[in-house]
Amino acid sequence: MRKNALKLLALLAVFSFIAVGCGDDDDSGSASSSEESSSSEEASSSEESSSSEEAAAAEPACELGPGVSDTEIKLGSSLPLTGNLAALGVQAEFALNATIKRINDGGGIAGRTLSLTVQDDEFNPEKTVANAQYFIDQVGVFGVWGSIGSAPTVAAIPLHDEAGVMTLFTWSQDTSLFDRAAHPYFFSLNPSGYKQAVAFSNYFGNKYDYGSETPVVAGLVLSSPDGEEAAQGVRDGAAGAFEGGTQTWERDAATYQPQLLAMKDAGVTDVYTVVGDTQFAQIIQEMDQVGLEARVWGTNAVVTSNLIDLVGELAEGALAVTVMTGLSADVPGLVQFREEMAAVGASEGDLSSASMLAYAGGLVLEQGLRDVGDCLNADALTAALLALEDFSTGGIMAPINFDPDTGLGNQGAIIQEVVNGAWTTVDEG
Amino acid sequence: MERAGIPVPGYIKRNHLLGVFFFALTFLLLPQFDQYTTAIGFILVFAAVGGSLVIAFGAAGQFTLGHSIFLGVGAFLSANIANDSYGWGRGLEVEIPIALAVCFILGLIVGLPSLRVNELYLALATFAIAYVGQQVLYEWKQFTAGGSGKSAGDLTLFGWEIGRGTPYIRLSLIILLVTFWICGNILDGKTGRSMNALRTSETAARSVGINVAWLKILAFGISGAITGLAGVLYIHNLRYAGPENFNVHLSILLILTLIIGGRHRLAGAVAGAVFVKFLPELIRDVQEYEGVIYGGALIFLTLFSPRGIIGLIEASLRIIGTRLAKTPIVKVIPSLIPSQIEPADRSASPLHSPPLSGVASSEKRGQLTVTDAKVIFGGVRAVDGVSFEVEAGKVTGVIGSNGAGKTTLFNAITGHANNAEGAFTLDGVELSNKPIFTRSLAGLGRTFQNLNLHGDIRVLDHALIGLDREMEYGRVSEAFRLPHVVRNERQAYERSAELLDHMQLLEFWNEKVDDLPYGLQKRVDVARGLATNPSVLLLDEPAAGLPTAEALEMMEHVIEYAAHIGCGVIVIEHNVELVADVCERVIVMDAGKILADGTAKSVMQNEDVIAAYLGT
Amino acid sequence: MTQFIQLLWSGILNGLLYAMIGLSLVLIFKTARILNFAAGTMAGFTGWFAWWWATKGGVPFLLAILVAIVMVAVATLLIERLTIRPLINENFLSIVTITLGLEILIANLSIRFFGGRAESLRIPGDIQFKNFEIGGVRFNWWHIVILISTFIILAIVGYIVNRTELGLAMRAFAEDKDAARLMGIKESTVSQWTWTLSVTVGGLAGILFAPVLFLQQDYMNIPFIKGFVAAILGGFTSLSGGVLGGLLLGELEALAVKYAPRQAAAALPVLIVFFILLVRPRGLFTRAKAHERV
Repeated sequence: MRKNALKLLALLAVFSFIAVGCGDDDDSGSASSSEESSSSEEASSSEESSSSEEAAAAEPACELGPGVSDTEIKLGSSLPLTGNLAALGVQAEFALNATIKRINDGGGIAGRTLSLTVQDDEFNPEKTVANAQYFIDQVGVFGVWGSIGSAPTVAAIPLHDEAGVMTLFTWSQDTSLFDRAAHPYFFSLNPSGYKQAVAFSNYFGNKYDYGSETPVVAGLVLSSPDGEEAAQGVRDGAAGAFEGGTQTWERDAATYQPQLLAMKDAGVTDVYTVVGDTQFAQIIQEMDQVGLEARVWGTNAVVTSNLIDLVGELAEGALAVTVMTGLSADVPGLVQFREEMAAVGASEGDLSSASMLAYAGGLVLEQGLRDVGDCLNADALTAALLALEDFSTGGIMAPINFDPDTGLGNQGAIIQEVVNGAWTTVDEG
Repeated sequence: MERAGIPVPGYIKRNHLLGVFFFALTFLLLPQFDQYTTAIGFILVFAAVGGSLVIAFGAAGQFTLGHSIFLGVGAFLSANIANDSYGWGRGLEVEIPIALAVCFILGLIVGLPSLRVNELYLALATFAIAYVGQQVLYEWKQFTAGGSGKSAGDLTLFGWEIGRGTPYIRLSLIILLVTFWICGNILDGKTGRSMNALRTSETAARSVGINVAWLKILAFGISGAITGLAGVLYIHNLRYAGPENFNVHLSILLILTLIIGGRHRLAGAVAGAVFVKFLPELIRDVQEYEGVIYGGALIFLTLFSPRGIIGLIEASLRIIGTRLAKTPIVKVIPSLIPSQIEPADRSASPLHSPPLSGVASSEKRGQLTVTDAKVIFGGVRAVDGVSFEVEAGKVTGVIGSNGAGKTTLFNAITGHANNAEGAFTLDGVELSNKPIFTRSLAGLGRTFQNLNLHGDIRVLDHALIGLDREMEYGRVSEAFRLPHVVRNERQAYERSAELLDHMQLLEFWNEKVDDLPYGLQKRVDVARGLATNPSVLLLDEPAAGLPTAEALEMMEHVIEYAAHIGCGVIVIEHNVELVADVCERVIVMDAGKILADGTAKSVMQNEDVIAAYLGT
Repeated sequence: MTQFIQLLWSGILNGLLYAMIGLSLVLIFKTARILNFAAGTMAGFTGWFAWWWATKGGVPFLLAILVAIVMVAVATLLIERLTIRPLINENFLSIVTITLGLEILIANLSIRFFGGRAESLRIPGDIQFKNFEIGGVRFNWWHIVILISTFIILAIVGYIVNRTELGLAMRAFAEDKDAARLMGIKESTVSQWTWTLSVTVGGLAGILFAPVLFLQQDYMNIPFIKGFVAAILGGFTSLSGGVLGGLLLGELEALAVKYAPRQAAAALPVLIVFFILLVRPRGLFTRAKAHERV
């Protein structure tokens, strides 16, 4: 009898717990009690006030954004610090730290210092999302800055959007991100893969002097929608007239020789590829080994001094379509970039597209924050960024204007070439 | 049963109560941890997969490196179903059943290699499957959007929107609880027992009538389905899925998680998931050394507790338990344990107990006809044209020198010999060329020279495994532990208890057979054979290694039981005294042929037999 | 025709890489029935280590290789003694788990020591950049070195396995563990030397292919998976099978790029492996067991 009563009690307990649980289903997560709830409450209330804020000129009571206090602005960054993109993450981290140091050494902005929490995500979206929750719920950040990779950013951005946290200056190319209707707080300085390919194609078809013979242009891309978009971009631009086919390689290809051989058979004169700098080095090396005499074009990612360290003379004549100027250019922005990177312990090899992009983002961010001043929240910074006109990065990039529909800051097609062992700007685009 | 303390099968076990307790605890405390909801969500996903692997791997022993494919398929099914724009715009009530169904079928297909290869080779085959599967996901752009992946659809259940964070985790908790309940029911029933049997000895499992091939595939099917469900939970937690993540590394991680936790227990699935998915959260401050800490912890744990975290906990509990048993507080706990089986009338023989009276039969069966049996391999004629007929219900002995072909003859009859020729019928039913388990189900029981016991399984389960063929419930009913399932289980337990009692094994019901002395192990082998309620029982050297007195006593009990149920016995033995004592008829084999056939006395006086085998 | 030969040669290059890894895996599997999931990471670590000695350590190239190999071998002996030997009587899963733990640990150590940036392993004379032509087919000098080195390594391994007492002990263990133990062959000796040999072969692969793949974090991870597939193809208990499987896989991949439709090119080699497994589960190059004892 007692045994049955105990069983009944247990069952009742279970049902009551379930009933309690189901009752919560319609609440939003952030309403539950926790010490961190204050910042998310501020976020939701600042969202509510945003519409009235945009209508009115100035509100007497200022709702600060999450991660913003009178003395501090907190930022987070989820980077691949380990795994096979570790180089990019490490380089970007230097640039982020350099920016923070510059701003804080200069006394901060509107009386606030910047703090940055960096977490490793191993280029794994699962970790990026876990990091995002860490930033939002535990650290309480104003924005997540400088993420690398499409998949990680696409995975985490819903969390950012829901918490009203900004997604700033990522290096990701997925087209779905460039949609401010869906992602109002997303800003980027790096165009989508498709756009970059079109930029290359137009430059090649309209401006580049490819000599007297008819060129044959082929893409060497990863077998994926990103790669295919890039290939399509080449076809859609002016170089489409010289299209010589597309070769794809699989994610787990060890070498590219078969693809390069096929290109050699097709008489390709110009190879356009979307890879990182190490794979670019490998492609250059294998082109030489296979006897494919062609020009090779890369994107942002290949503009590093590491490339030349890896393949030496073979790199000579390699080209890249980027949004940034060549490392050897004598522009004030780069001079400053070098100094500030050295000040945080970076070496020459850490000066790359990854760090330059992050650094340029830092310049824009600083300007935007200064323009906002005291009343800092996501909408204010958004407005400030959109209001920027031809913002100068000291020559690192073309002057920046943010497109209100996409959140993209530049469409540049600065062409760089390896000349005498260094990346040099050959066309401002 | 009470005097041995065998718990009665019921609806609720102690583990259920523990599970509900932890569930309730987590459920209530969740808001305190709402900054970890993403990590907890992943813990639940991995725990669900782990639970499914307790069935496929822990029970059925299929070491699979291919489970990431189910997670991926489940995730993308969810994305495509739940998304408003390009999908159907439906909620979890549609996503979950479809994921279960599709991944069940996928699992059956993925399980096919398990029919041809075992163990490590199976690991390799499933590895290849995961690899190919990922490529397929990449290429099937419509389903997965290739490298870009897909975002999760809205999270709704029957039209109710489920909030992200705590509400969703609570829902996942409930789903996990139900899933674990179902997994537990499967493990506790005939399916779980059969799977454990096939893991520990495929040969023996076949001989008690288990369709090993189908069961292996089924293990993959069930496990795949549950992992597909976990995939739905996965994508709603991450809100995104890309083919990149469903790679071989994930597959390895999935099974590794269970191994870390302890692969024979559902609790191990949870323990492993917590270790794998929560540890990174705790060491964020020293993140650059995460690999060293994580890898080091893994090595450390494996070195000190090969049975996983749960093994460690159980070992500690046992130590604490033996100390606590002396204190009065413990008395409260037994009352929560389900009641024990009512005592049978101790004075009477177990054979007359209600459970065993049911199988009594005065009708004799087991008329076995062997016609021209031959087993030839590599030029050796192990069995060379043997023919004989055994009457129903008789006890027959088979003797001969080593290499005479006795065991091989048995193997030919039961189907364990691959290249046997000849015709075999049992009670008029044709057995030739049928698979082992079919012959077993037709009434052919056997024991083994090498015992082939199920090492880490209890004695009681050996008897239950034999009885499983008579369970009158289907696997779906078993999953939900319906009343008739419990009834059948209860009956089986009672019958097993009485059978063990008859074979004088009752006090060892809870021991793992590996821990038993040899003599007892031999008895377990016999008990298992008897439990199948055979028409004829083939005993292969049951007395080997036993002192004659013990052997005689055991044989007496066997014969008594056999007479009780009306089945015949054929026994291979070297102990001629024993044979003479119990067998009415003796067949002597030599060099693959029958040398003599008659009463024990006449055979032993046969000159040829004396020359070839008995000696003077 | 020259194009075809060029294509086949490119397939052989990859094939040699897979073959070496496959050999490394089969060595351990055959003798100890263990899957060494750390094989790729250990091979990569050795490559990095050789680079470190050649650059930061200031040691001449060949000596750097030697030092790296020797130190890794010694480390393997230690690892085997401390983490694998204690579990030698448990079932294979425990040791497999250990190798997984080692993989995670070593990968992390690698990035701590060697940094995240890609590096190149400079060969004296820069011969990795020098090519020559025969009959219209272009070859690279370093690839030739790889080819020759692989043959030498295979020959040495073959010699050890087939002509030495240690090899005999290894083969005895591979056939029947209990019988070998009863014969007085020390399992601990066989275990430690098998591991050392296996990791050394992998390490040499890591070094040889460093100029081809460049030293990056995890640069041997993909070759590891491919080597795994190669070993499956060849039959996990046949040394020559592992090697041949690797070469075959490399060629299949190269040919698939040229002749297979784009969608199938990636999956095709592994699909083929999968089907071969269905038809011939023990792999292409192993003999089946005669019969099973009951």
